[in-house]
Amino acid sequence: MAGSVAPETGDYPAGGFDLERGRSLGIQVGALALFVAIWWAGALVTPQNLLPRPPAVLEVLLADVASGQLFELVWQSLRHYVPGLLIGSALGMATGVLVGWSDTADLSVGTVAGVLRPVPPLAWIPFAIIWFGLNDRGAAFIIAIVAFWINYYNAESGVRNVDSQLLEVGRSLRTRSDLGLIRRVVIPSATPELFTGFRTAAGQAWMVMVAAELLGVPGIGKHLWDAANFLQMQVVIAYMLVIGVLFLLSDRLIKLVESRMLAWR
Amino acid sequence: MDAHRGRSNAAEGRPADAPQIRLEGIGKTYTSESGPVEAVRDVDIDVGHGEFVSIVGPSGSGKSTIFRIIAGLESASAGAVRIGGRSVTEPGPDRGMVFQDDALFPWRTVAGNVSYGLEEVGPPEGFTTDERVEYCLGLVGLAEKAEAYPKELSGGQRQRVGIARALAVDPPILLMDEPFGSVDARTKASLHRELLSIWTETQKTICFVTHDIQEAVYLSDRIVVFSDAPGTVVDVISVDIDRPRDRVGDSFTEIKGHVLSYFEDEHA
Repeated sequence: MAGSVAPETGDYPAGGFDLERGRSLGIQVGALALFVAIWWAGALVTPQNLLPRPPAVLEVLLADVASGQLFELVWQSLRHYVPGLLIGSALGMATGVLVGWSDTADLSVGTVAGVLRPVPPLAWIPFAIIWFGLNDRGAAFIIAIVAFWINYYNAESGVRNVDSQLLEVGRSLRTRSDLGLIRRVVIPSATPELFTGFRTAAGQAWMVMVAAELLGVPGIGKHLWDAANFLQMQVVIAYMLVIGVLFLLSDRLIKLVESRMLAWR
Repeated sequence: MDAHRGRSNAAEGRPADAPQIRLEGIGKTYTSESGPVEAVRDVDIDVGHGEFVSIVGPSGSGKSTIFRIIAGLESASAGAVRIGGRSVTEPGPDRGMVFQDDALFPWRTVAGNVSYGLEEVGPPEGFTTDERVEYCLGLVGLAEKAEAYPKELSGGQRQRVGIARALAVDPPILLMDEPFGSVDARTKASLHRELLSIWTETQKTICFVTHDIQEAVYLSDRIVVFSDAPGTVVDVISVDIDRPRDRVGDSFTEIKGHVLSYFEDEHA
C-alpha cells in the first residue's frame, strides 16, 4: 500500500504526496459517484415528484447559473450570513475570553449564559421579527446567536487551558496588567481553539441560515422553501447541493487561513 | 567583543559584602483539604553579588517553593525576601527566570521569545532590540535558529532559548528551577559548560534549584542542602574547587559524598 512507498520517497515529498493524494481523491470521487448512483437508482423506482432524478437537478442548476439567479440567491444569503457570522463570532469570542479569564465574569456573565444557552436559536425568531423585521438584519440576528454560542464556549475553554506557566513567564518578563497578559499570552495561546470555534460556527451558520430565511428573508433558504411549496423537488435538491458546496468552500477557506496562521503548531 | 556592553553594574554603589538576595526566616504553609501542609520552614539563605548558589534537595523538599517565593510567583507565609535590601513580593526586572520545562511561547519564533521581555521594557542601554536578541542568542549559540519555532528545536536548544529569553532584559539575578532536568546526560554536560561561560561573561548572580548533586557540585560556589517535609536548610557547603572542574577528581567526589550523606541518612 502507500505505506511501503512513503519511506522510499521520503526525500521527494512531492512524489509521495501526489500518490497519497491521488488515492484519497480517488476514494472521494468514488464515494460521490456511488452516492449519485444510489440516488439515481432510487429515483428510477420512485415518482418524480417525490424524488427527482439527477439530470432534472442538473438542469435546474445549469439554467439558474445561465440566468444568474443562482448567484443572485447566493449573494442575497451572504448579505445576512457574513455579518451574522462575523458579529456573533466576535461577541462570542470576546465574552468567552472574559469568562474564561476572570472568576468574577464567570460567576456573573457565566451564570447568565448558563440560563440562556439552552434556548434554541430559532426560538429567538419572534424577537428577530419584532426587533429587526423580515430583512437581512433579522436573519443575521438569528445567525449571530448561533455563532455566538459556539465561539463563546470554544474561547472559554481555550482560555482555561492556557498553560499557567506561560502566564508566569509573561509576568516574570514584565507583562503586568490583565489586559497585557490576555493580549500577549492568553489569546495567542488560545488561537487554535478560537479557530475551531469560528470554523464550527461558520458551518452551523449555513444550516441555521436556511431556517432563518423561513421568516421570508430572500436567499437560498427561502427559495428552497418556496420551491417545496410547489413540489418542485428538483429545485430543492439543487439548492441543497449549493448549500453543501458553499459549506465546503467556506470550511476550506478558513482551514487555509488557519494553517497559515498556526504554522507554529 | 562587545560582551561587556550589556552588563549593568548592579554591584556598584553597594557594600561588597552585603548579600544581593537575602531570605529571612521564610516559611510557607499551604492549606489543603486535609489541613495545613508546611512546605518550607524557617529558611535563611544569603546569596552574594555574582555568586552561583545551588539549592539541592529531594523531590518534594520545598526547593521549588523557595524558587517560586524568590521569584515572587508565590508569597511566603512567614519571613521576607530581600533583593538588594528591598523586600519583594512579586516578579521584578531584577530577577530573570528559567523554568523546568522550557515554557517557551510556542507561537513565537526563537527570536520572538527572546524579544518578549524587550517589547515590555525596551532593550538595555547600548542596544537596539534586534541587537540585544542577536547578542543573547549568540551567548547560547543559537543565532542561526532565530527564525525557528520552538517545536523545531531539541530539548537542549529549547532550554538555551529559555536562558537567552531570561537574559535579554539584563536582570542582575538569574533564577533557575531544575532547568536541565529533562535533557540527556551529554546535552546536560555541554549546557553546564555553556552556563558557566555565560555566567562568567555576564557576571550574573545565579540561584539554581536542582535535585542532581553532581550538577550542583560542578556548577556552584556554594550548595544549600534542603531536607524534606517541611523543607529546611540542613547545611551550606562551599565548593572551593577551581573551574573547570573535574567531575571525577578527589575533592569533587568528596564534596559530592558530603552532600549525598544528608540524603542517605534519611533512609537509614
